Amino acid sequence: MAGEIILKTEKLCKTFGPTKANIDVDFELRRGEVHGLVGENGSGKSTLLSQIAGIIGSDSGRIELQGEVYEPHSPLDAYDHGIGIVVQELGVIGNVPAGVNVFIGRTQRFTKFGIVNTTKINEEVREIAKEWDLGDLPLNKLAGAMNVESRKQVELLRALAVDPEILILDEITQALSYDNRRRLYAIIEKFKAMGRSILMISHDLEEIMATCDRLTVLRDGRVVDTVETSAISMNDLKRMMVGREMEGEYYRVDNEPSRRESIALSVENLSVTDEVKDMSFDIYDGEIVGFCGLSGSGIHTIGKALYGLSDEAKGKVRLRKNEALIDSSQKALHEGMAYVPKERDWEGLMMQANIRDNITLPGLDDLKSKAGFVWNGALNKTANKAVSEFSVKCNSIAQEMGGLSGGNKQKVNLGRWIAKDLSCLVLDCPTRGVDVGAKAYIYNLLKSLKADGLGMILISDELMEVLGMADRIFVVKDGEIARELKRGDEFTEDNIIEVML
Amino acid sequence: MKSGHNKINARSILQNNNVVMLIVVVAIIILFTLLNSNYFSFNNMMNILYAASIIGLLSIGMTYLMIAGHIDLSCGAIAGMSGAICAVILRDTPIEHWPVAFVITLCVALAVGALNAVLVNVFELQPFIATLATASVCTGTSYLLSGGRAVVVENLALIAVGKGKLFGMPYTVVIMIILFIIFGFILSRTVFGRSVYMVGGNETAAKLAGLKPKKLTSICYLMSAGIASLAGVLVTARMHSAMPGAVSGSEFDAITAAVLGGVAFIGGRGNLAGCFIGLLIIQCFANGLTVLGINSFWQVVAKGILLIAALIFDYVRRKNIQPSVITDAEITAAVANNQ
Repeated sequence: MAGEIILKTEKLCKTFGPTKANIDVDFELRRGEVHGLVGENGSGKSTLLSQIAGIIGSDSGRIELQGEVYEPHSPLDAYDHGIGIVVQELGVIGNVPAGVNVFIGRTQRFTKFGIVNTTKINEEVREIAKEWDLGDLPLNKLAGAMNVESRKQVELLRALAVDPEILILDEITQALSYDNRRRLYAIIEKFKAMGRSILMISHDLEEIMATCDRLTVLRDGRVVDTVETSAISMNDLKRMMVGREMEGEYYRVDNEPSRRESIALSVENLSVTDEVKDMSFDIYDGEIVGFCGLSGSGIHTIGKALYGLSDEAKGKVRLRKNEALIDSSQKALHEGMAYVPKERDWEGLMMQANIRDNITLPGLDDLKSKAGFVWNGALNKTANKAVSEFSVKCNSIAQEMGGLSGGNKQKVNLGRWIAKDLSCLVLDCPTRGVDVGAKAYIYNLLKSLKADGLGMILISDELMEVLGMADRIFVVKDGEIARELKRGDEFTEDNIIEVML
Repeated sequence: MKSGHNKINARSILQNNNVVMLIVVVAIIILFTLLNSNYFSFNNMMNILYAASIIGLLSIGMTYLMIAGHIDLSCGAIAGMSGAICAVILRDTPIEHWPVAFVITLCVALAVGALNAVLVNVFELQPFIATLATASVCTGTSYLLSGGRAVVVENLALIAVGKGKLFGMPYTVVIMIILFIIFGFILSRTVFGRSVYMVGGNETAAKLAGLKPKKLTSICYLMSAGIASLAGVLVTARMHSAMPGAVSGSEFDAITAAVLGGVAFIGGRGNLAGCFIGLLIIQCFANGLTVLGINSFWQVVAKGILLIAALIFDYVRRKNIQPSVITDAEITAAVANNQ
């Protein structure tokens, strides 16, 4: 029956060492609803999901599932109770084919005399994918060889394979491109129509507001309130999350394209295998150029190719200030370009190293003394300056990078480039997995860089972000620029979607 | 500007691996001195350093490579082969000057180092497997060259190097200390050294930051082979002969020293000062057991126990340092602990 409570938690607590991750969390999930958990990084959302998913235990309090006490000891336990989970922590097993990953831990059914029948597994996975309209995935490919988006789809299939009553989605849309997001929304709709429940976390508040029926706001491990989505405005929601009025504007407020006369970067006939086809464009100083496109459109490849990271790239990428031809990342860095990759943790940062070493990574050559030595004093000075300038929340610059929240990681990731004298900045999904506070910070940073005359390329899967920040948008389809939009009346979500589909 | 970002207090000192390990060294020395007053004498301390010098030399290249996320299992075999080559050149060829023989030896060793670099960076083999294979080639070569017997060295100049002392310190010890200082300085205070950490910390990120990971690790392989070659020739000088298999297995002692000293097996963390302290711990302990007249086989057991103890200690210490916010990594760790 719709509306009845299917899952609830009472006074749930969890501490990690001295940190209280969850304090007396009371939470209810109704049948047939989409329920969003919102809060800043470190507010305890992921911890709550992990407790329900059986990934971590609770110190005290209890969880009830359909009126009965529910104490999951592992994600497999949760599966057996009809709870399907897509969370950041589980991931896929890299050296196992995608198809087998869907049934990982539950392959007994397909096993005869100790041999797993992968053909049968793949058949069943294909059926599930068809049932939920998830498209084709290369099921025999090793999961480790797939991109992040496909891996997330494998995880989603794994959750759906349980035929769950409750589906838990943690930050999944961040990894999905526009078309796959739409597929996910369709799944969510279908789920709701079947009278099943969804519990989701997303940093994309527009998405949360559009998809969820009710929201539970968490702050510092406590539940602030549970509200109907229809009864709350975006600003109220932000205030509840942060606990204070948000300062400053979020996106740009002007509605006119603006740029300087001089060209920052010229791209001539850029091609990368069949992903990017013969592209030519100019980026002007003080201009933000957005790139939008579906998963196969090649927008992320463009970013890599511009920075000289693609071996197969053909064509010319030139910085106009010094007429330098960019053909390698070393040259790009040297000549004043910077690239902020999409996969922050994998591609951008050294998680085990301290904050200082991460900040000074791209600038070592500038920091060495005349004799060619790098002294700690110089490193500490630069790092301390950057940490306070970008208000990175940390104990000290000696703290390990992995201990920072997503937003603060991204501040380090971005901030260290800004310290250099740049001619062009390439950003790939700069606000991915970042909470509202840090997002606002990053947007303000981009605005001030624009005012300083820096040419920027903003590649993003979030249309609102590109619409909010860019002067021009290139909508990319099948590796070609299908349409160029200028800031102003043309700047609508529909205009982009129409072209990119 | 926030103050206190580099504030040093007692707790942060104790969180410094090197300081803790140095305390352990001092504790070991005090313990054995109490048990046998001869332990803490200049001669015995020199014995410890003398015994440590060959492994110490090998551990320099090992530390660089481990910090870069690689490993060189062939350094012991390269040292053995170098000793044999040098001895055979001096015995069977008209070359009379040992420096000439050493230069030829060094060239062969560097060629092996280059082979390691090519296998790992061009053919993208796992460093563990690639260097294991070259180790086998080198060990085999030294047996072939020597015919499986000791190759006696009659070159007095080379023997003098093995015997010689500077202010009472054997030349090998002096060379080891000088190289530790030079390479320690390069590792911590030059762009090249800092880059090695970054390659080990996150190769993709290093590439994005304009570094050339393959070039950097190739240099490390060459360095490791070059120093190993020097170590091998020094062993031959010390023993007046090249014994095939004299230094076999010493690459594992070098790894033990590095790990004891806080060098991360997966790369990105550690330093040469720590490695040196790790080396001292092993040798001080082993020497102590000898001084007490305990069966030398116990030394091997003790080495393993020391390593296990150090790793557990490191785990506990790192676990107690809590970040201010709950992170994905931490939850992942919690998951691992639960299962």
